[in-house]
Amino acid sequence: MLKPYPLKKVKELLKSGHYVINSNALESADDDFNWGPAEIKKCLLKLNSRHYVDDRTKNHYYKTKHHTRFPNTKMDYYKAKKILEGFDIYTHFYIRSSDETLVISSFKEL
Amino acid sequence: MKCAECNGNLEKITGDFKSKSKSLGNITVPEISYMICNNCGDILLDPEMAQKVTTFKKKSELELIMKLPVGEFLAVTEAIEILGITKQAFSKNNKIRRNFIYNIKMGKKKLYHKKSVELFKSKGDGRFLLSKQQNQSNKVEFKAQYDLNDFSSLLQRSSFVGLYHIEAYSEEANYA
Repeated sequence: MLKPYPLKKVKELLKSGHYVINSNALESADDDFNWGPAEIKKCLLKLNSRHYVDDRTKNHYYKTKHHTRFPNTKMDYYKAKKILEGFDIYTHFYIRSSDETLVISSFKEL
Repeated sequence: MKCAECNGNLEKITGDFKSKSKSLGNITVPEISYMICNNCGDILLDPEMAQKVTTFKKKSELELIMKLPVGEFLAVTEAIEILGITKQAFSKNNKIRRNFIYNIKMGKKKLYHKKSVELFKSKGDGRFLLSKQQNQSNKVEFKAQYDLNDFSSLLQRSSFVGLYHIEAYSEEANYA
């Protein structure tokens, strides 16, 4: 079973600005929540690593899978209910190994 | 740098950035730096550029909301009546708080756009296309529905409320 990226590291990358957002994720955050990158960041900083299936109201970590086209890259999936301003979110991201940058691939309503 | 989606090459581009939103349709944001895959077209933005795109969108949206005829806006009580919910449910609704219903501020009072309220009631999202798309260039046209009649109705409404200052909902956002 694949291990997720340590959330501590993910949050450090967010705090230090070492992240990029896919344009589709930015558009869906705008469409679904009227949010921009500041809210996306705020939301990701609130994620926890407890398994979502154990408690769907409080836990966020959903699964880790290999990237569809990059077998060496794993992707972490999170689902979080009422995480910010009462919204439920679904997101997935990975850490690009070449330059240790967090890539937010998706961010939308759960 | 390789694209994680298709293994194509990521190229850095600075210039017009094409995006879209529910309120603006297709828009072009000038002077944005981004990485684009030359194979699949996947686009990545750093936080600063993503914020610049968002700010541009919000600012453009605000300009267009401000240009809607003021007579099309309702007081909060009227909006609540249309929605058929309590005042408390209205003020606590996370989507309304996030401006899923177009609104403007007149002094301390918020006014809600009637069509937007009705749309919110039926679809849960009161945002509709505010701009008229300009031919094929995908640029937002800011010539919204604003004429002298609107201006006089704005003045009438303002004096009715006893206020002369109108501003949009951007109190918490800093679009400077």
